Amino acid sequence: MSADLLLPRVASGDADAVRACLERHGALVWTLARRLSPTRADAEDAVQEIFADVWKSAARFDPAVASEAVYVATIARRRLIDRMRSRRRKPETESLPEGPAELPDPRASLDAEQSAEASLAADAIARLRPEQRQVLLLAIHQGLSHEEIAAAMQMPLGTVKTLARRGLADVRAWLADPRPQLKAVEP
Amino acid sequence: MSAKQTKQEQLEALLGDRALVGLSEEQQAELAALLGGEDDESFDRAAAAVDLATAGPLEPLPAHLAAKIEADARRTLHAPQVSSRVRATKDVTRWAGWMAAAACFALAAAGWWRASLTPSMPVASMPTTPPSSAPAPVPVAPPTPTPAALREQLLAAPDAIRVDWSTTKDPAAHGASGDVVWSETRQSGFMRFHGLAANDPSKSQYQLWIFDPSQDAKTPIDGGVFDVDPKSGDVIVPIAAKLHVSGPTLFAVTVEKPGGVVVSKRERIVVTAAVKT
Repeated sequence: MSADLLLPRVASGDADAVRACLERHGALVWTLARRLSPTRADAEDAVQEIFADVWKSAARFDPAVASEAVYVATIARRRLIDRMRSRRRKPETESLPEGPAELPDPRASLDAEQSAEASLAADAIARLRPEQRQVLLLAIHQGLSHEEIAAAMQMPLGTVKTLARRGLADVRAWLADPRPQLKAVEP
Repeated sequence: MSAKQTKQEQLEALLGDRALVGLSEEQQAELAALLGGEDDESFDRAAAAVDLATAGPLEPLPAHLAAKIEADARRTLHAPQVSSRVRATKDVTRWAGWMAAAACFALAAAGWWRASLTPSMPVASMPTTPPSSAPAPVPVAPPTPTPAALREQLLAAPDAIRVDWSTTKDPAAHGASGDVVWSETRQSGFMRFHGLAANDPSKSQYQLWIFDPSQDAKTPIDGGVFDVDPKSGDVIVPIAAKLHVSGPTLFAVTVEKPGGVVVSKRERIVVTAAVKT
């Protein structure tokens, strides 16, 4: 699957691993930051914070739990969500989308270089109910809050929360062990 | 439905919300209480995996940005131990600029010191509920045991540290003194103040921040908001850390809007206490 692990080397203070890590995961982090940041300058700030977090958390990386790409993406998402929440607390509010934007097809957009977990996640998303999939992707891909999704999809807030939570729980369960569900789907 | 099931459902709802949209401070505290010192990042990983699956074509990281990040990293990644040490030091120095030159005072000789140990010690109110994961629930009302007594008990802990406050030039800190006590194993602590200006909770509140090597210096751990009653000169405030504190390097109190903030702009830093390592 993946080549040598870089984060353990970063954790041991190997500065060369930093460059390799940026080469391997920089595009992923930048793409996520660009998508979930209002401006390019904000995305640049976010990426610097994210990689500072990555270096700091490198020692906690466990390849038995997640791939490096998922680990880095997890750190990136947490930082980006914090920044989005901070922006939302400010008086100036950004305009909400008028309706659900076009969402990516998980299978079509899956890159060969991305991790096995991403491939499994794509499978899991494809198996969700359409409205569950839409809510989950609006939250994850576009970074919309529950309230923004409810407004965009004209759904009750409680329904949005339930769909999002159950959708993510289903993806999580699928990632943990897809076999029992495969049996259920493909008897 | 049993209480255990309800608790599990609430835990999973919070973990899911954290992974998708983030949590408010109150929700973070609730989650910390439900997790009981552990963490479960499986929901976060699931969301990250979905993000990877839907990322589409990736845009290369701009070269100038990669170079800057690499240069920054090289400055702090000489060795693993150095990394955290440098960060801790930077935390202290960043806040140290706000510290008063020297606010050393003989605590044992100060009258308020002895007075603070009496049962009649006024207690600052803590509008935010401390995480229930804290090993020793701290009452905010004076009955037995008093906060002063609880503080004394905590001081007896083998790993307890006590650091005197240093004041800044902020008007609220004029003539203020006191200390902070913290036990890492108990994840519990108390602040003590003498002469800290009373605040109007409808306009502003004090908020404690705890720096440790595990947290980015820009986002130290929220230690809770509190008030100082105009009728009381001396107060003891239980610390309500929202996250696990590991090797604190600095405690700092700021003045914030009512209810506190998630990230302080550090416009009004009142007192700081740097932990000597």
